[in-house]
Amino acid sequence: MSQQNDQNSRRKFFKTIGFSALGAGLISFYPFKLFAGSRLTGNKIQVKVHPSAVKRNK
Amino acid sequence: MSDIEKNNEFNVWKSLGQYNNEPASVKAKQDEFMEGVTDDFNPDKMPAMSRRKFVALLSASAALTATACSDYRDKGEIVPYTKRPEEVLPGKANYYASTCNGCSQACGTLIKTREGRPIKVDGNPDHPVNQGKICAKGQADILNLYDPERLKNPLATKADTDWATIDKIIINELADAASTGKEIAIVTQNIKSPTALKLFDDFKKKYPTAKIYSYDIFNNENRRRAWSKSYNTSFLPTVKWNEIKVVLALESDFLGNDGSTMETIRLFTSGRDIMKTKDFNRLYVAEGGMSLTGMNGDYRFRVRPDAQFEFVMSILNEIVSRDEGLFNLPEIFLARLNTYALSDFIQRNGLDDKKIHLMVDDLISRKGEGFVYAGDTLNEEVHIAVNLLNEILGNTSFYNFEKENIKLGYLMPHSDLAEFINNMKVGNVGVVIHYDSNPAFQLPASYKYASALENVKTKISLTEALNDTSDLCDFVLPANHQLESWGDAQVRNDVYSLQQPVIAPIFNTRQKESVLLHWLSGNSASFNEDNYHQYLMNNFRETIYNQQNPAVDFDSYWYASLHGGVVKLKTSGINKPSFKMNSILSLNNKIAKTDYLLQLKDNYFIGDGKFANNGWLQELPHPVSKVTWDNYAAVSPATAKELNVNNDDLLQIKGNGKEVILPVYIQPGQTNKVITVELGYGRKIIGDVGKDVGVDVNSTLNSLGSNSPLLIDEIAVEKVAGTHKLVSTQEHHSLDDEFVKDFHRKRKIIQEGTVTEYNKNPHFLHEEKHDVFSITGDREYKGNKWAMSIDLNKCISCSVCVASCNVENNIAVVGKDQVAKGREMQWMRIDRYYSGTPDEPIPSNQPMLCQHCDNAPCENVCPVNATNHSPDGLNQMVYNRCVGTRYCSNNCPYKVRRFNFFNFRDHFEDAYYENELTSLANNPEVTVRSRGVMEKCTFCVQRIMEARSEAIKEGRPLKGSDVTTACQQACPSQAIVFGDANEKDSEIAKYREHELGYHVLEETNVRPNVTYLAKLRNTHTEEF
Repeated sequence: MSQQNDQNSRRKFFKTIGFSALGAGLISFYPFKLFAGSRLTGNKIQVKVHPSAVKRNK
Repeated sequence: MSDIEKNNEFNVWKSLGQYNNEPASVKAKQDEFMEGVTDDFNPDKMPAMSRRKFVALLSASAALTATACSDYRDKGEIVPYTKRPEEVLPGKANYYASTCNGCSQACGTLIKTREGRPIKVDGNPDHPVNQGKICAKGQADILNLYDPERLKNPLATKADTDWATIDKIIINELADAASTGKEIAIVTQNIKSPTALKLFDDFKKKYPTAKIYSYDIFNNENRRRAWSKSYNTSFLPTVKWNEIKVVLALESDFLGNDGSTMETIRLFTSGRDIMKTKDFNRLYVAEGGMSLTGMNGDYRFRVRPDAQFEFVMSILNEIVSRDEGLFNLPEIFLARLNTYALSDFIQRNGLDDKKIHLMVDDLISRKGEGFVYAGDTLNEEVHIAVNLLNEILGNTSFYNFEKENIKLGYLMPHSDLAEFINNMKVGNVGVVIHYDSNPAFQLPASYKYASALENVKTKISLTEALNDTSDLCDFVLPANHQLESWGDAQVRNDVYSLQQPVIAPIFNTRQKESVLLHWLSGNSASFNEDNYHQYLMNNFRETIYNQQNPAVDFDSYWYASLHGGVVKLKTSGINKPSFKMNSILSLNNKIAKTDYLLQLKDNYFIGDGKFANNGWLQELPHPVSKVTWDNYAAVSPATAKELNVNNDDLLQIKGNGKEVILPVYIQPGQTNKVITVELGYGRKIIGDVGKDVGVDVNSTLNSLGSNSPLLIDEIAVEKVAGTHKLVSTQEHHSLDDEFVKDFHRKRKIIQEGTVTEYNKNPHFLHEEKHDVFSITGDREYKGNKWAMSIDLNKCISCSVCVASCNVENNIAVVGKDQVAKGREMQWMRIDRYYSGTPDEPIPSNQPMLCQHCDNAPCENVCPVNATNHSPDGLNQMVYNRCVGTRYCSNNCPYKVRRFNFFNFRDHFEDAYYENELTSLANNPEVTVRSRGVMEKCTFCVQRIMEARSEAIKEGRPLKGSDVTTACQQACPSQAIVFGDANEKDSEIAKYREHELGYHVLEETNVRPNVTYLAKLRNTHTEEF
């Protein structure tokens, strides 16, 4: 019985590991980086609206 | 008439190869692919491989792909827009009014930005001169802002440095030059900014040895000088082109690049409205090389540019001799005039006697309704003679004496320029500041500018990118792009326009006026980047606000002016001045030579070389020859025969002590012995796009002080060994007409008539109409049904629509090698057809784009339903579905689909256009296509969607007038109308029902939704 429990928990453990890896893989593939703003934009070309420009409609 | 001419009497042809039925041209029409394109894919030439080896390799590569390969392109990251500027709403465009400084016309612009990035430049609809339109250069200039080869930092002796160090050195050098009496020279092109002129004046006050040298290769100085002599006033009036009924253009490309073309095109084409055919204007053109204006003439005469004086005098003589009491001319002039006989001129120049007399009769019989206009390149004497001709014919009412073409900065006389260069040679010049100018490339080689510059101690260049002059300078200072700069402009007495920055400088650059202002302060330590903004405001307050005296405070007026981009000034014109008869007494007897003549011209897209590093403009087919990525020597078929040259052969031209070698292009309609070459090409120091493109011909220019710097006689011309492949799109996408003679007329590709014919029988076009039927039922469009009409009477084939489409739809630049294979990606093309003979061709233009057919043959054959039909009549492309079978392209009768044979941004010039900077130019509403995907015109579906969401937000139905396509918005002649065909009272519905409306290849029953309005030529008879 305990052998079977061990087997179940091992199975559950690998299942968790497997799904976690799969999930992590999927998340890393997804292009949204919600918490990485400052790091990612650090080396980018800075586009700034000119502060004195006066916008209008078409 | 030769056999070939007989065979082609009623035919339409695209090239001399097609006209002469040359085997290569016939094969090109029959073959699906261009020559050489399929060579690499011939299975017979592939190495043999066993099945086992093939399967092994396939398995190995599949395994490798699955395990090791990552995506070849970094798709970037999506990050939250947490630091959003107040005025930016994600997904929503902002617009800013400004002024273009790409050329001397200073058109008002409207700049569209998305999330702070300028992505599109159009004309400012509130600007009274260009009224919402802007040329191809203005459209494509957005690419110059994002050019990866822009200077990013200041350079001292070609090494990066910082502004503070450079400022300190230069301020000391300026002070030193001023104190030792050495000249400080500012070399600039034509100045149209009143505030910049004031700045130069202030600079001269601070540094008393400073002098301003202003030059422009393409200018209207001859016209101005002649006007001043003829009327004793510097007030050069504008022309009321919309009121003229008969125009005689003498070597004037007024629809192409002579003067304020956006305004002229609008006004001139308003006189070719098919709703008022009784009021159609008539255009006669006499010119040497085939120009855009010449292509649109109702009659065109081949006249050498140096024979124009004789031509005008002959016409004058003919008119005066018919009615002696017409005008009180001095006896001495009449005696001189008698030596010019029109019949002699006609005979010597091989002109059509009947047509010339029709023209003279027309000018005489419609006195006060016609107008004679000479081109800017013609000399002063021609302009004076033309002024007299207009006086005699009573045509001066077409001058608008309320609106003046003003000139702010005076272009330097030749004597000043020669003195300046001499001063440099002898070491009298201490500092030279090249103020966004490139004289080492642009000035004639005989000036020896580069060697004179070597004797100057401090050489400075203020420029956006490296050029031939900056390469000779010690200090190269990066200037802001015009979209990053403040400024103003005034080219008319009643219009003042403002330029504002719409984006903060992307690199470590400064506005060139700011740099001068900073040097004025004499304090190198404290640079105030807002200094020119303040300076401009102060000058605006003094010269505009105080003068206009509005009822609001200054701040309100300033911001309102910036908002609108333009200030309409209160001015008063002048009364018509009287003609000064003594101006004609100096007109000398001039008989044109009969030797070869080299005619240099302004390129429609590259200008004087300023735009040579812009791929969109390099790839835009030349409006006349359709050649891309090159300049060439245009010669007539007879001259080519005489010189024993063919297309692509090399011609050596020696003149002014210089020689150039150019490839030959045989241009139908070119005057014999006139060789036309366009300038702006062959820059040595330039970015990757413009490198090794074309030949520098500026070196052969005459002295700028001569009467015609752009006309070079006494040249030696001979064929030399070798060839250079010119790439023209003229024969691309030709249909196989082997079995149908007069194919283009019979299959309703080109449909034309005359005004007389139309007035007699408005239905003449549809006399032979057949009923067409479909085996399937008609599709029903219950809501909107999008459709377009193109009026071929108004279209002048300027190609601005193509440039606008390129920018709006992120069209890739593919390079000369790919254009040669017929792989240009432009969604629109302007097809050019000729009828008549190669010597006297009659050109026809036809913008061609996806016709959004109701029974679209491309949709039926797509195996993955990537191209399908929308409920509002659009022929859509789903890029993600497309697997690149190209069946749709094969099945498209209009050949308007474009396939991405490569990832073109990656393919072109070592991924020149695939970098973070250039991708900022992309319109985020339009997918950037990649390799293996088919694309084509979408009728600007992104604009339809935007208008639809606005309509939904406002709770109203979407109307056709809510949507303007990019090509429609850009078209200066308003030839393109777009809208909802289901709206019965709409403009588009009206044109679809018009008697002149027809559909290209309509008998195929694909039911296209682009209606062409057949061109009417305003000839004297029913024939043309």
